Amino acid sequence: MAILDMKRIEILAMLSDSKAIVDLIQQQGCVELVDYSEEKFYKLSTSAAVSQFDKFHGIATSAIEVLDRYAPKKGGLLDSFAPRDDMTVTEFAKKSQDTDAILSKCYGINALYKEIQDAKVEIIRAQTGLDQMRPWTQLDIPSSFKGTINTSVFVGTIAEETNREVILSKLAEIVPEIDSEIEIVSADKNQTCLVAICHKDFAKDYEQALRSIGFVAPADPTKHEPKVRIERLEAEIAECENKIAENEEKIKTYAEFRGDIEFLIDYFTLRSDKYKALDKISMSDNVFVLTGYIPAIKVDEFTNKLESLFDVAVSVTDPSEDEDVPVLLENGAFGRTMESTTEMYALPTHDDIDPNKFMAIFYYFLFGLMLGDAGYGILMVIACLVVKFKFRLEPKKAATVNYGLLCGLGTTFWGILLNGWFGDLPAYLANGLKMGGANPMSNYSLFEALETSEATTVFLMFCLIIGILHLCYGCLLGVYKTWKHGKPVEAILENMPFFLILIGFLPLIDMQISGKALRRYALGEGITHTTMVKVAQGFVWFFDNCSTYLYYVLAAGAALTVLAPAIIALKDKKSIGKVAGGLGAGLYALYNAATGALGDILSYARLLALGLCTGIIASVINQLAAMPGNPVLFVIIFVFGHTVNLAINLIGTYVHTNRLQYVELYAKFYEGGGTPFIPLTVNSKSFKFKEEN
Amino acid sequence: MFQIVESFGPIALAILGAAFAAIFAGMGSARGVGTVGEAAAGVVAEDPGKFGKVLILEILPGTQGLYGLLVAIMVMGKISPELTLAQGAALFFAALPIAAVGYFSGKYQGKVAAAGCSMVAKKPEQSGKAIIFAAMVETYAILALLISILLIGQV
Repeated sequence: MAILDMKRIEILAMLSDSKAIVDLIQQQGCVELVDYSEEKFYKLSTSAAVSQFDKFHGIATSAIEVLDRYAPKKGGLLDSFAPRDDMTVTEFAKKSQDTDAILSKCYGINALYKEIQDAKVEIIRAQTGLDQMRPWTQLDIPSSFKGTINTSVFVGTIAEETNREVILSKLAEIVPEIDSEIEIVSADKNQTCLVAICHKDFAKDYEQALRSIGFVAPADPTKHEPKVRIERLEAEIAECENKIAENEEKIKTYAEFRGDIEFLIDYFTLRSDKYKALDKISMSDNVFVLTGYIPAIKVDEFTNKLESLFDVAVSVTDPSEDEDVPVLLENGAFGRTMESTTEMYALPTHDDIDPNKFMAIFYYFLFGLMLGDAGYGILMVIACLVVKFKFRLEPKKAATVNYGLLCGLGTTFWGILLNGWFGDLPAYLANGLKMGGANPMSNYSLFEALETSEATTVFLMFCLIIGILHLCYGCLLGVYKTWKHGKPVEAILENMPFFLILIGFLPLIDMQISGKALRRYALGEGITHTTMVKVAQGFVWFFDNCSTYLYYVLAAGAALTVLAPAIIALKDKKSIGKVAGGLGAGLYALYNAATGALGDILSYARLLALGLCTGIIASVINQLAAMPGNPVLFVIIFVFGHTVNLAINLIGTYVHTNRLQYVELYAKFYEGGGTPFIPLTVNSKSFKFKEEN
Repeated sequence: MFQIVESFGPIALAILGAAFAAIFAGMGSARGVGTVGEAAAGVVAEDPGKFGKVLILEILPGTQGLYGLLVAIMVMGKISPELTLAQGAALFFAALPIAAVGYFSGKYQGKVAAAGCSMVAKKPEQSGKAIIFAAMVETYAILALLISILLIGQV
């Protein structure tokens, strides 16, 4: 059984051992702690400690982010597959003693980064100041200059582009009696900077006149000539830039501590997790109680270890029926490749069966059919094999790589059958990368004449039949699931009617979709490769001879669908009224089953659509590549085009294969909605614990 | 009206069909991918780690354009000097399902996938469901593609 059996574990031990025991649980990583409270016990409040650790964790994380920015880690895309370092508990304890020193380095990095940010703000401020001073560069008096013994000087701006003549004439209109001099320092379309001079006696009236034509004194006048301030601001900017460069260099010298800081992050994650766990235990003055879930297969190993090290009382019980027991899956290498796909939908509950290994068989088959190009398939296989043998992979990443590998194999399998080698590349290879060659691989292809409408229709029929098989498989899984719960009658009555209806739909496909085309194809005219023709003849024989019986199956399925709810009601000895109601429900179920079966089966038409899509666009890319008639251009266009085609179709195929699992297959037997098992464990990114020798 | 059609000639009619398939399905996809792209950029701005998940959502409405292209290519494969006016017109009509449904399916799949992006932003572990919601809309484009392919096969 692939959903692991869970037990409830209760541990009672001396309070003095509490931290050591929680440490052990964390290292073993097989117990999910559950909040436990009882009246006579009290709880430890660890929130202060947790928030302290989270704070340190944040400091270390931001230090790493700063390092990432200024001294990025060298390494390629594949590095994410590299395994974590091993570390023993003793090494961990030893390294943990240095955490203060490393933390202070993190503070150092963060302080340097803060200085950089401050300097950047300072530069912006200075830059704004400079922009304001630029128009005044030519002014050779301080802008705060008020005048000499006999004159008054006004330095300021008018917020529009104007010239000396206009200003003087405007002033002459307002204060004709005052003699004045205007000097324009600079003018652009936003403002005009000017100096106005008049006799001191008229200063007041003159200023008022100036104001009335929009003259404004500078908000921040200079004590010296503007040039002096400009030089000072420029010096400030240079100084800040130096500071930034200097600090960046300093940060780079911290790069050697990256490993230590990564360790520190993990260390604080560990501590924080541990203290959060401590929050869940209850204690009296001398003892503490801790409860949680543990996978049944781990119980012996864990309790032995615990009892050998501490004085504890351990009791292991079965969880009660109504508990929401967390779910942990255990699969072989093949089933595990599907786990992340299932998790994306929902984890199984304890009532479900673990669908992973059951769906895996069809998954790669359908995936391959939708991508259907041996060239792409082989590329995927090679890429996954390289990663697989280059790195010592951890289980979860190994499952991802195996998933890719199996998808690649499925794709290669179908690619060979459907004659897809980077589209029709062999035709071009045979003809010196030029157009118009015959495809030498055609002889090996199943659907050689996929271009003809007959072949397309036959292939569509083939896809829909695969769909029917897939759906029937889902119904059988439904039978298995309900039977396992000890309800064989319900198992049969709830799942088999739909199974029969699906089988009964086979002749309908022949009649409505493939009929004439299949028979024309079976004549084999103009088709040199005859395997598929023989298969088609087989289908024709099958439909011609079995259709009648299949209609009986369809009728039986329909009848059973109507009767099933009533029969179940009878079996449970319900009242007559309930049984009659069951008949009504049955009629409704028949309507649902008929439309549902049709929709489900037609949904598999996507196998054809996506398969054709990859293949035809791949062929068009080859055609484009061959157009210039130049081998170098051919290779460039070929590589670029096929990379894009593969990327788009990989995602499309992935999505639609998942959809066929989620919507069509899961609906037949799977509910989902289980809570994941999250044990207290070592959530480290940079290292993993290994047993001490 | 008939004279106008007749003056087109069979090849122009078939090409019009191919062009319709490529144009409208492509427009739907462009619109859909664009809508999701905006939402996806917002999600990535908050958390660059979700790039992979939203990228899948963004590419989803892109398939309608491919289906349109596919039908256009299949129509092109049928064009020959011997094409009769009736056949040309038939090819034109055969291309219409994917042209129309491709446009709307791409547009609305884009909306669903964009909503899926906000779902991923809040609950990244539920991204599978966001994909399924969006993949539902695609079903109708696939059905339209299917019927276009089968109709072209009948000409």
